[in-house]
Amino acid sequence: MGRGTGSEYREGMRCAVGDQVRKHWKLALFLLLAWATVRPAALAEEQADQERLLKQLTRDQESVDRAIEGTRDLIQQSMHRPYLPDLYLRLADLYIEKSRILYHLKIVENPTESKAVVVLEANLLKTKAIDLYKKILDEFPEYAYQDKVIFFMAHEHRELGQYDKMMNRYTDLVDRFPKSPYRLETYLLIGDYHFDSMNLDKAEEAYQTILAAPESHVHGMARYKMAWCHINRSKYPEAVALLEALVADRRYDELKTEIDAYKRINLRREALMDLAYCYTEVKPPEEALAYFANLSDSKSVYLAVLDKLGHRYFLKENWAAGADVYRTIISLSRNTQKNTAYAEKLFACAQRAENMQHPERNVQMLVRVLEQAEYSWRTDQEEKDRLNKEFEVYARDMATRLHLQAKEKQDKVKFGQAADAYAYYLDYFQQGRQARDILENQAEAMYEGGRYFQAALVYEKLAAPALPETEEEKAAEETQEEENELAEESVETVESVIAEASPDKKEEKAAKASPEPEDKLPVREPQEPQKSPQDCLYGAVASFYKALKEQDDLDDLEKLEARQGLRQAGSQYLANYPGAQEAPEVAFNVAWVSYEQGDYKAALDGFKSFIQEYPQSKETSAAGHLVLDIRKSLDDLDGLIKDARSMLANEQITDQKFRKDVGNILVAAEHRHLEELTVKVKDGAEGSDEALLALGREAQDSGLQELALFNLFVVSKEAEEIPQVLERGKQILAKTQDAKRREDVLATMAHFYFEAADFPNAASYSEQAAELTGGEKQADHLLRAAKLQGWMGNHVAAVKDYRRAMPLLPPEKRGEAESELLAQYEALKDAPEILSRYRVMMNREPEELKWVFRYGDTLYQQGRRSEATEIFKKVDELYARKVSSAPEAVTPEERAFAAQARFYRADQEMKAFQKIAIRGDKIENALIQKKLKAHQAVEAAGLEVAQYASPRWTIASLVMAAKANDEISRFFLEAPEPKGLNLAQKQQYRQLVDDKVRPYREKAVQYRRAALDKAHHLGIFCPEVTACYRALNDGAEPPAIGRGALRLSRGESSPEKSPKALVEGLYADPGNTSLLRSLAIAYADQGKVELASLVLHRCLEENPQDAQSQNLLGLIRLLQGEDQEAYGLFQRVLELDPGMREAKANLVVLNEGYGNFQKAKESLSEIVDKQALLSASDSGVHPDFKAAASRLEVVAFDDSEIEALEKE
Amino acid sequence: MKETTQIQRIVFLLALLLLFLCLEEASGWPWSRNGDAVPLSDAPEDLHLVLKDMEEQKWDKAMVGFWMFMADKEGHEDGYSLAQLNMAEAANALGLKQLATEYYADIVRVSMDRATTLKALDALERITHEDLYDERTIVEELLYEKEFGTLPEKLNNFVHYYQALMDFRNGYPRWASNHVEKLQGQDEYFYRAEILEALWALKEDRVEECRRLLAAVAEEPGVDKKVRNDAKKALARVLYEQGHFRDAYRLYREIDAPELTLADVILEEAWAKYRQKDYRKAMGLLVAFSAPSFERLFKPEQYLLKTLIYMQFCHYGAARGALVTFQDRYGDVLTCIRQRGDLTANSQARRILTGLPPVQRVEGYLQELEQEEAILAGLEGAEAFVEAVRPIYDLKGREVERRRERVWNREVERLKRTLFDYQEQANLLAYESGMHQYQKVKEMYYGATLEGEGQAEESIPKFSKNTYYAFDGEYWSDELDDYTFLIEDYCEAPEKWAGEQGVNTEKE
Repeated sequence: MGRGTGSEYREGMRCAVGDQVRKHWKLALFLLLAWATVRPAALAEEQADQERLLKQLTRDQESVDRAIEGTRDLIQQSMHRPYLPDLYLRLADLYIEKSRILYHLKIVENPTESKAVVVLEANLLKTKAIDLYKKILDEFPEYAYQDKVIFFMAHEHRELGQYDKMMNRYTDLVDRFPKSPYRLETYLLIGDYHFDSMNLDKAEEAYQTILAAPESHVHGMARYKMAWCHINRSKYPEAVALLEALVADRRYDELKTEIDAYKRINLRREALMDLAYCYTEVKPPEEALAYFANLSDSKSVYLAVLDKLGHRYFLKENWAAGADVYRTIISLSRNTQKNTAYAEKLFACAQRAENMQHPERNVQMLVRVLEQAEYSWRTDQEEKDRLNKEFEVYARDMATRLHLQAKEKQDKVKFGQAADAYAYYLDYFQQGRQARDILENQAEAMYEGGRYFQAALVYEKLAAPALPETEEEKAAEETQEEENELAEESVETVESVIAEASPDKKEEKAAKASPEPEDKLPVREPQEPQKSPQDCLYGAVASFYKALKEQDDLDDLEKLEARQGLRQAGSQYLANYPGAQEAPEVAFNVAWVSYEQGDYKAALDGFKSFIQEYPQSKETSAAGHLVLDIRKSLDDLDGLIKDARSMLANEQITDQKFRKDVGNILVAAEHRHLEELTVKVKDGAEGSDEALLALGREAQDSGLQELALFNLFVVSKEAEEIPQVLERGKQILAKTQDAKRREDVLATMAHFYFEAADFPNAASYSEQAAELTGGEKQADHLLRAAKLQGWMGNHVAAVKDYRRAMPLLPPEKRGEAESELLAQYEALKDAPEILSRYRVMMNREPEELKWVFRYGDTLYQQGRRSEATEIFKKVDELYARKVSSAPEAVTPEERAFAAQARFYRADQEMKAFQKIAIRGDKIENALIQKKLKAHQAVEAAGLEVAQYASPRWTIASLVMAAKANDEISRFFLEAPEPKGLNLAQKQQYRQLVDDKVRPYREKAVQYRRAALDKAHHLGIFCPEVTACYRALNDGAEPPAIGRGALRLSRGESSPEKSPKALVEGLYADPGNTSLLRSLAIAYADQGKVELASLVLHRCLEENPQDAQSQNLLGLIRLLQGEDQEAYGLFQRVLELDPGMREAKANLVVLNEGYGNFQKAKESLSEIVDKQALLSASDSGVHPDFKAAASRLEVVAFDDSEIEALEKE
Repeated sequence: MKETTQIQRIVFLLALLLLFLCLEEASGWPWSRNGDAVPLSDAPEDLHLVLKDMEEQKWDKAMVGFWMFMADKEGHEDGYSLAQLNMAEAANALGLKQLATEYYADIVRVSMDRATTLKALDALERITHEDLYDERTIVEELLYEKEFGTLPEKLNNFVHYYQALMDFRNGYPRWASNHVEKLQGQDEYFYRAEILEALWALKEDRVEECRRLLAAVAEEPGVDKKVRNDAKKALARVLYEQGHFRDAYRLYREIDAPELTLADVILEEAWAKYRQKDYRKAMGLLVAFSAPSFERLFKPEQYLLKTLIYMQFCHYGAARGALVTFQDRYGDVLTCIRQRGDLTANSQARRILTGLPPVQRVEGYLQELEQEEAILAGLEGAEAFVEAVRPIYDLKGREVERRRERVWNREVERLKRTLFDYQEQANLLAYESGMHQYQKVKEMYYGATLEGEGQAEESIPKFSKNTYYAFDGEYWSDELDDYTFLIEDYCEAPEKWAGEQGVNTEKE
């Protein structure tokens, strides 16, 4: 009989009532058997169950005996009754029932009794039943249920092994009763018979007959049987299709078949179980678990089918698939006993399997089963001990085997699996004797599998001080021998598992195929000596390091822990094993990880001490670079430079490339530090300039010192700290040969000398700067110097500078420069140069009145009067054109030029007028007329000059008119008397001439008075004024004004007041007006009036409202004889400060010197507190003031003061 | 005649039926009995005295008596099942819950007596309603392992619910649904199973289905309060994740949570309010965490949320203060974490750990076992009994200690990670706070005017330098989530932004 048929075949036909009995009986038996399978180990309970069953069966026998007796009685009372065949049928059924109870009772009572004897007794009852069926068929041919009786009878024949009779009855039934409700069921049994006889064709024919009929209660079973036909023909896909359809059909999900010949089975479930058999032939093992999970309705069904599937794979030697199945079962099941068996199968599979998906989980499941058993109070201790010992070996074997495979193939994934397997092992056997070895293996597997962080944690555990050996461990040691023996036994156990599961030679073959114990059990492998704590600690360090470097899957916390772990383990290693070969590497890594953690202080300490300790290590370069990097990160350039210098100073560091790198970094850092310090210096940070200079001194780059100085110089320049600029400038100039830098420094110094009013140095440094450059820049330096030289009165030097600058200037700047150069020539009174340059200017700008006039003036001064006159005419023309075209654009200067030009022409006429003289002693009328005409012309010319409204030349023209009248008077007075006049006539003639001349004389006086009044009124201070005064006062001169280098400063001169000291004072305080004034006075005292003027101009530039400086400038002008300019300055002073005594005093002197006593007295009278003028040290008052005041008899001075003044 | 024959035939068949029914009754299969208590007269004579002890609630005597009865009997013998059940009940009454559980489970596992089995199963069902029970023995090893036939409705639901639960846990939702389908009526287990199905739907991204299932449980008035709370909480979380903050908040408010889980609810409410931009209410909810009942609460998230809220009102000083409080509260542990120290040796960490529910559960379980062992040790004249049952306690104790070790390891890891992550977030928030302030300045001085925005809707009470809310020094647990935080909006008052750094807004 094929698989899946025998157990399902039921025991016979049942009527409804009889079935009730049998159903209970069968259920009880089923449960009992199920119970027995569930609890194979619980022998005592099994015994109890046997007794309970025996008791029950005895009760049942008594009941059925009573029923038989009752039926018999009823038959006797029912003869010839219509239901008599029913009673016979019932009695037959009771015999059948009794036969079964008897059979089982005998078996249960005495299991050792011969079954043949038992069967004989049971069969007697069945024979009785068959006789009764035959009796019905024979005696009641009209009985309505003959087909049923035949059906039952055939069944009993089958029970008695009378298959021919059975088939005859079944054939009879289907032939005679084609519409019998038993027909399809009969076909099913016919098919079964043929199936059992391996007559598959006939069996299929019978089943197909059913399947061809309309759907009935037997179709499911027919399909099921048909599937088995396919299985037996190895047509697995067809079988799978039929079975899958059954599984999918929920109608077959109940404990029923509605086929009396079959027990109440769940056909769906049966089909599912049988699918396990077919599946392995058709579908891939890797899909098996999902496939059956999907077909199963619950965990229990799934576990049941997996049990079969696992077994199937086991038989088929598909070890990997088998392991998957058993592992899944264990993961879902909590049945300790069953799981123990599964675990053994799992181990057996795992030993042989190759390329399992998750082999490490085998260990997990094994340990899980062990733990279940360990905590189960229903499992006895002996069993627990056995499992502990066996499974420990299994688990260890599986884990180490994985490890060996990983090593062999150097497969990271397998290393990881081995590590996990060890973890599962250690999760349970953490206190075991093998724990340390396994822990070491785990660490190694983790490391090799790239799980460095986890490996490090394990190494740390291994490195921890060992705990004292426990009693348990001692005992374990003592039983080592036993364990070794057990290992062999374990293998035997595994073999026995295989043998038990292998009913045929296939299994034997499978058993033989298992690896030899020597190859697979770790207890037999040569164990490497245990790693020392030092090795483990080093392992932890290395693993943490690798984790940080190479393990990508670490999260932030793990990274943190890895870093901290590396520090901790590394520090411990260095503390415990300072001389170890790996110590340098560890020390480096500890420092490195501090760096990684951002603990820069610790990292710096670590790296620096590393470099100090191991200067020739291969990591020294990296350490050095990291030190510098940290400094850089901290923006600690000072520290960076210090550390870099320290490294370079360490001669034990011989890595030249490193030294070169550090050198380069140092230079860059020094440069950057220099920039930073420069900024600090600029910000005025205390000590920063010293630091900058120190940096320059100590710098790796020799050029840095100069750069430091230059930066300091630049900072000072920007801060306008002149002393520092000058000092650092000089230092730079002493050091550097760099022309560009020298030029910058010189130009800057020149600028600051100028700022501090040290004009000689300003000019000199500008000239030096010009030497170091070219082009327009050089011209700029030269122009600056030239201007200064000119202002200082060094006209030759100025001319030199201008002349050098000129060719370098662009055309648009050249004109101004030429003009300035011309001024220098004028100052030098270099007539040829002046004339030629004015000519050039005039030609270049012919409409410019100034150049035309200057040119004419120069010619005039050179005595080239006629040429000059022509030019002056041009001036006139130009002026006339300008006045007519744009009178508002005419400047006072141009007006003065035009007036002066006209005056010169008038002067020519004057000179011509003066030349008209009587020759001999004869007066000719024509000559007189000519003289008079010339007189008129000169007088008219003078008036023309006055029309230009230039006060200065109006005065001059009035004086000229006066002189013309003087001349005509002299002409007539000095004319020879007519010859022959007597005395009286002579007297009369003289009288007549005097009368004739008088109006000319009076006119001359009027002209002079008008000129003087006008000059006094307008404040004109020119020689014509004093000439008028003299002419009007009978040749008497007004008091002369003191000129030249007169001492202006009062009181003792001191070094502090020397120009040098004052200039130094101005370096520190360049805009200081007081110092500037003092300097001007000091220069003036030395006769350097131009310099003094320049200083005062600088002062006024700083403070245009400074009245004192204006006054001093006026005073200097006064001393230089530039009275008109001096007057203007004094006037300006009084505009600024109407009460200023010094200016008023100077005006007293000036006005008195020009005979304007009225004004002088007025000014004198306005001076408040005149005494104070004498006590001031630098009064700014003309030295002649006291005398003038005295002369004007306005001020009464103390005698002592007057004496003092006189002494001076 | 034919009719008479027919009647006779029926009478005969009825007689036969009666005969076999009697026969069936006579056979007396244990599982065929109903669940009624066995009368004393039906019990073996040896048990009479013990049953009397039981009746008189002399639990210790009864328990030992039943045990002695069973000691020399086999399972199938008369009175064995009765003794087994009664012994379990006596043990349970005596406080030996573990022992009772094991015996009840054994009865359910092996007993052929249906009534006894049902009683034991019912007892186990009651035990599972207690806070602590042996889930492994009852659920994993018994309910999930055994195939049960037809059961009364309540027990049927009990069994199928836990089988469904385990199937869901193991990742077999179809099997789980098969169990759920077998639930009858609409009891607690039915609704709990609905929640399971909803959660699985959520796991599979069937969010709408999840919502529908949870809403059905949450809105069903007949549902057990705890189950309804669970449904509401789960639904509120789903709604929150979907951005329905208002609805989420409404549901949170409806949860009548016990104080043990109130903190979770309040915190989640606060988040919902925060996301609704109702910052004052959100902060008001967080005030609850200052209540003494939450003293040991481990909710570092609250400080981050406070910071976020303070930032909304430009209380940058207070925002930083909340972060400082976070640091003050967990600083030791964080240092320990950063230094890879042993958290279990750190007093602050231990306080947190021992307050965590999983740890409390496992510790509580161990304590219960110890207490039961003490009861056992106190039994007089029952040395043999104690000796016999002590392995149950020894083994369970070892098992739970092993579990405790795992729970501690797991929770230590979780604590480390949680605090580490929160500190990272706190650092980011500190930075964000600075940035926020900077941006606000930029916005105010260089951007569009914010005038009129963020106006306080309620009048602001006068507050002291350190206290932002009125507090009378007393918390009522039913008011814990009813505070509204009246905080002035400083966003228009940059001079106040700095605030008092380190200000603790909680009542100190």
